[in-house]
Amino acid sequence: MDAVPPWTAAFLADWMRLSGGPWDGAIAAGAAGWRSLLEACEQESLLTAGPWQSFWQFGKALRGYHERQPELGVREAVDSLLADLINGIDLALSAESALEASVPPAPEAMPAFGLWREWQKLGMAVTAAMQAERVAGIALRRRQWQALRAGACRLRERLGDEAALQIASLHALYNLVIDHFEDAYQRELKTSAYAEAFGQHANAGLRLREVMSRLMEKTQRSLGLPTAADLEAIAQRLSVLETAQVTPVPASDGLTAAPASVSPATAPGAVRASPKPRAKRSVAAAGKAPAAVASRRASAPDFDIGGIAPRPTKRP
Amino acid sequence: MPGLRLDWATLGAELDSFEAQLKAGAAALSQAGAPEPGGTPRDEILLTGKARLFRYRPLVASPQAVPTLLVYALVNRASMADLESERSLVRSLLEQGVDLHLIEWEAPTPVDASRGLDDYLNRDLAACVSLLNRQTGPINLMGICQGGTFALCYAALYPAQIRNLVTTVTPVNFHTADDALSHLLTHVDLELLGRQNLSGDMLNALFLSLKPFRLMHQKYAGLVAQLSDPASLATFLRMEQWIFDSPDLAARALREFAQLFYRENRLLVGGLKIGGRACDLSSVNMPVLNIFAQDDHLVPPASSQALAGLTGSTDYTALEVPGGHIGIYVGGKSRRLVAETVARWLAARS
Repeated sequence: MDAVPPWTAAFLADWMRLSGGPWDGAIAAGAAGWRSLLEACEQESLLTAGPWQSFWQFGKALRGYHERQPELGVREAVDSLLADLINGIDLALSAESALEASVPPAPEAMPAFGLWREWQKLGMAVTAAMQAERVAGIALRRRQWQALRAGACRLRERLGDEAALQIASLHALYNLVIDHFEDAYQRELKTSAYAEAFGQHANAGLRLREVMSRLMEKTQRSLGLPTAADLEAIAQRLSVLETAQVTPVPASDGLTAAPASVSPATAPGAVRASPKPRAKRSVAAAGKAPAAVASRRASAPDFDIGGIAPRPTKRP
Repeated sequence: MPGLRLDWATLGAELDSFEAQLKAGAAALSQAGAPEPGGTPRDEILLTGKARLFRYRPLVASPQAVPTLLVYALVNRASMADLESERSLVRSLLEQGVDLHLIEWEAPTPVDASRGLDDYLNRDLAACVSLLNRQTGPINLMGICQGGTFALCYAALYPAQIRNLVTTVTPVNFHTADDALSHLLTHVDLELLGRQNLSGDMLNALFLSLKPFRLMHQKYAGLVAQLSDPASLATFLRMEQWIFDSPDLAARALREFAQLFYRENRLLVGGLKIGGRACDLSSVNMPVLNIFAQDDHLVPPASSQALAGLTGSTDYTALEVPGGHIGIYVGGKSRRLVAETVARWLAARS
């Protein structure tokens, strides 16, 4: 990591961090220096804390090359920056591999015993799910790093193209970088391997979410708090009661094409009428409703309201 | 090695200028607050299930006699259609004489996890349409994005209730080669996905991951130049709020949508059933206007264009509009084109 100039390290750390939280893990594991640089940047000022920092970091990085080697032209500096970026990505990829190797294997499905048996089982399930999510995340990030690397390599090759040579502003240069990184990412995203890695990471995340929810529910129950399942059961019971209380009103104009059992207009308990528009607000509003419209609106309450109390309009 | 036209002096000056702009704009940022979207006057006329039905107050003396119901997607909020007065599809449609109604979906809570497409379409949407039917007869139905898919399904389920159908940036073929979302879902376990509600944040992360460098880096670099313009900054912040203030998705509805449309592509291959009812596009026998965006990265144009020939309508019109998935509703030219086209097309068929 010492081989990577500080500006490039900070620049790369920013890109990775903004490209998604998980990047931080690799940076922290493989290059402790990056994190401290990143934290220093975050504390520095609005310039480095805001979402626009990738542009600022890019410009500052280039200027840093110039300050250290005044003889470099802008193109040479961009080339050096990209070379350092590629070097940094290679190091990050190595760090990812080390990180992957450091993830302990998921605990075997050991039986649990005694008073805390259920908690122990759940704890093991959470640990296993977290480890699986971590491994899947590493595999997905590896593909993202490689895409970024490909984008940087391609841009290095094209710095001599006529279009690149015409670049006359930092913004245009920045946009060129974005274009190449995005194009490389898009190419990677369209591969089957990426979709598979994405799916495995998503599935691992969903399994982790599920087991965490179970842990949360168990904790809530131990504290005497209602769980999401309890609330859903109440909601379903209320829905049944609402359905039982409403008398269906047959459609009178034949427009309701659905059979009576599921007629939209008569769907049991489905409809609550909102209050009529308030006249005071109508007058105050910029767009006054013409008389004909007001008359038509007044007829709205003829609709089957299902016996449920109307709720006030939040924003007329 | 030939050099770029960009030299160090220019680069340094531009970087200094960027820093100065940002420092000067810090005050603007701190004072900008959180501009609220919307504002076009409207009245809530129905609350049913997880849907609120609004009627916008007409901006012309004689609006179209047939009401038009705008159906938005479950992802994101319908406020995008009325972001601000100068960028409001709603206002543009009202100015063109459309008698506009809008369904706003309420965000599901964990107790709504078992709400499925049947609840959203056969109950909520049906209740809204039915209310308008009783007042004026068959109505015009207009859908945006996933709301377009809903509108399409509804028109197939209940063709007698719909006079004209307008779909905009609506996915129909979910298996086009350039459909990145569909591609990413290939290996996702949909049963697992649909066990709990999906948070809006997770969904946003998915959307951002489709274009991470443009959506998470480049657009913010561009923001700095707008800091000195309060109106432009307010627009940016409204859009930012809209993008990231996404509702959660009900578990069952998400699972069904992902399975039936993304995985099985049922609109195209047939055999779609919603709440046990057959939903066949050949039943869509009313006039259809299908609008799609040229540079849509979420719903590729080819996905929307697939609608041609699938419906039973003898009056099918397709329109490609320059712009992206959201740009066609909030951009100046595109928004006007969409509103004028929709209003003119509806007027000719009312």
